[in-house]
Amino acid sequence: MDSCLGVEQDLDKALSKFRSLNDNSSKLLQNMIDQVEEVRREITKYSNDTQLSPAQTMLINDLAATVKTTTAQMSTGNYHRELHATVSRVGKSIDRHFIADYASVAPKAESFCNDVNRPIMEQAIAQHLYRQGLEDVGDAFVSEAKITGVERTCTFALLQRCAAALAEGDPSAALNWAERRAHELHNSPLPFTLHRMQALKLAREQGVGAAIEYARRQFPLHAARHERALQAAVCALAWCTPGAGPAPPIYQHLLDPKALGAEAAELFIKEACGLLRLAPLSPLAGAVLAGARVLPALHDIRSKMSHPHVIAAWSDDELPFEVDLGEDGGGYHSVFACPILRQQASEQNPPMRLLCGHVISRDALNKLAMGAKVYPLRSANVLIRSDRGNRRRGDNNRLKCPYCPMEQSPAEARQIYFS
Amino acid sequence: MNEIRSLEHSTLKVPYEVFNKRYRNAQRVFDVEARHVGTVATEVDNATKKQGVTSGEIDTLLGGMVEKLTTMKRKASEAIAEEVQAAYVCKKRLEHLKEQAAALTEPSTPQVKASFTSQTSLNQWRKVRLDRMLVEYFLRNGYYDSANKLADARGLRELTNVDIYTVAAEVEAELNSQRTARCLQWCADNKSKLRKLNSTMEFKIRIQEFIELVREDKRLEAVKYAKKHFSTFEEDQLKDIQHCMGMLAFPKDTEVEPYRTLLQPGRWEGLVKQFRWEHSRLLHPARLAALPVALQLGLAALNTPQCYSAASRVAACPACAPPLATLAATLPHAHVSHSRLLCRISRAPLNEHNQPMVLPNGQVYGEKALKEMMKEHGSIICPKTKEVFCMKRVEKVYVM
Repeated sequence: MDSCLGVEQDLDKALSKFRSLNDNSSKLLQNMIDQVEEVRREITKYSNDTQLSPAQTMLINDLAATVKTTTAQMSTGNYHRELHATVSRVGKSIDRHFIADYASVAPKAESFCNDVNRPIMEQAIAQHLYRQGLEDVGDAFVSEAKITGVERTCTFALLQRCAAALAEGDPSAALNWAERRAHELHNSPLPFTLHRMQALKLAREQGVGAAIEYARRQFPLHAARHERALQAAVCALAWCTPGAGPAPPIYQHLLDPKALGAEAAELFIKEACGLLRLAPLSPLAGAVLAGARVLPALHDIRSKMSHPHVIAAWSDDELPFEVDLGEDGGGYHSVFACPILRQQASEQNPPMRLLCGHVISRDALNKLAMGAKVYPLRSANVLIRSDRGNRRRGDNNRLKCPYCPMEQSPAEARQIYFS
Repeated sequence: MNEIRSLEHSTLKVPYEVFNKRYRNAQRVFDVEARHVGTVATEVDNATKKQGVTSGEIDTLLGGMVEKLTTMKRKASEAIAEEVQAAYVCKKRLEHLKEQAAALTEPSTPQVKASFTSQTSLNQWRKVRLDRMLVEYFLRNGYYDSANKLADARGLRELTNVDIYTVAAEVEAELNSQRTARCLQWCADNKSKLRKLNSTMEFKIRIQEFIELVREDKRLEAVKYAKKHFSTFEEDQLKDIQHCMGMLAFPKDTEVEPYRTLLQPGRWEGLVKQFRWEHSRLLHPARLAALPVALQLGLAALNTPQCYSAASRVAACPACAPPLATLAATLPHAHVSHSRLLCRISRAPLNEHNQPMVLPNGQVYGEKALKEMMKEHGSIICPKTKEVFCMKRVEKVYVM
């Protein structure tokens, strides 16, 4: 926000200066034109071939001189030229408030534009376009970029078209779709949202009577689940008549067809994708969303890590830290990180469940077991442990769960699968 | 730091460059017009000094002056109007960025707090951002038709640079049909900036024109052309000029290098590519479009070891699905030091409200989903291995 405001300030300054300059220059030039015209009238009072009097010559000389100096002033003096500082300040402000070289933290991005990877990326783009129901744009892109192997039709495109119609304020296509799947949607808020939208649309277009008629037919089914929302929707009808005053704030949202449409469109996509087991975002959109989340954090850390020692962290082009991608932005997979080694589990180092139910990675398990064997009498802590474990004397290959008092042999831990 | 600060530099900088250029044009208009008026004023001055000058003569001269002043007035106000218009494009984009700036600045605020509508509008804004990125990518890679269509379909003409790139599209079309006039004009229009960037664009075009003359066997004209244009070029271009002149000695279907490569029609494509590069270098400070950058970082952040094996693939994960999976495979895995678990049945996060539970076969699922399955089927069928268990044999898992 600050960055926007900073630039806006400079830009507004420039704009107002240019506007006043425009008025000023017009006025200045018009003045001169008027003066010249006046002198002309003065001279042409007499016939064409009379000689000028010395006073007239003087007058004309003066006039020519003023015109010359004023226009010269406008070109070379502090007139338009002076605004250069204002203009360039806008540019500097943009540079200061926004990051110009955003690519510096993504060293591998370059490789996405080479001849091997570019077609793959462009395939994803074409897929995204078709998925959004933008067949025209997709076709144009496929032919311009010479992409092969992208399916033109996609179940998602149908949903997208319904959602687009919703966003435009027309719920009929989505209602049709929901009607056909009514039995699967009985737990979802979608049908009511659509009916409510239709009722409010009718109220706007055909009058409140039609809306009430519609509400009577459709709302009772949903009364139990959406009582409050239903009441609000019916109340909002009171402000749908022409000539009604401004609605109170709680109903304004219901009476704004654009906001209502956008909300319904989003809900529709979410519910329909859940039903059809589709991803609500295309791969491209999902990745870009996550990327946009990561970028500020990277810039942040980059600006803090300018020390030469720390810079080495950038050499292996891995993300040097963890980024919270938010609820909607990431987390497609379960990721288990071993709480002891603080390391992501892998096939070579899978998660193991101890008898007590705590989960650690296999490497950590082995290390703990080794520690118990190699240093059985090193500390009082371990001493007590081996005392307590004397039920099975001789088996010194035992380990204690790092999180609770439970002891067990490493063989009793079991591999579990999160994905 | 926030997403706007990190990603939107070129959104504002490109229209600013246009604004700056218009400013310089306007200054030129002021200079030229003032000079015109100045000459007329001098004429009037001289005329009055002449002996026996009549009022008729002066009247015509003054008439000329009025005419010049009116032109200056018109042109000045036109030029300023153009400047203001360019500044307004900046302003408009700034307004668009401001719309969601507050929401994006603090991504840490829990989204539960934000009302549903503001979340919707934020998502809407993000969608627009993706479309803007796509248009930018299209423009910078010469997919002008797609860019135009996408911008029109989404009503994004003002928020993207399609109009700024129309000139580039025309120049490229001309170059593709082997005409150079527009490109040379573009070079002249941006002379000072191109020189600052050490651009070889104009020189390359001149060479191409020379080559075309040789190809048509107009060798004498080619020599004349070389005299006219090559004499002004820089030191390090001498070698290229020598190659060109050497070409005069060979037939146009020669097999001798480097003349054979110079004479190949493929050189035109190179020119188109170079023009595209120079053009975006002139406008954009960043070397790459935002799309590949965001895509790469996004894939890197989403990349997990599970993305590669068919068994653990998730349909919604961008790094799992083809074609992006191929790209993700070249990237390192995301750095994770805290477990982030999801129920594979409901896709809901696993936490204290939805405990992770392990089946006897080692597979972990969420408590809620398992209970629901229990209600529906009376037993638990592992979705992965299809083994059947009863609820009693399901055990809790504690993940720190």
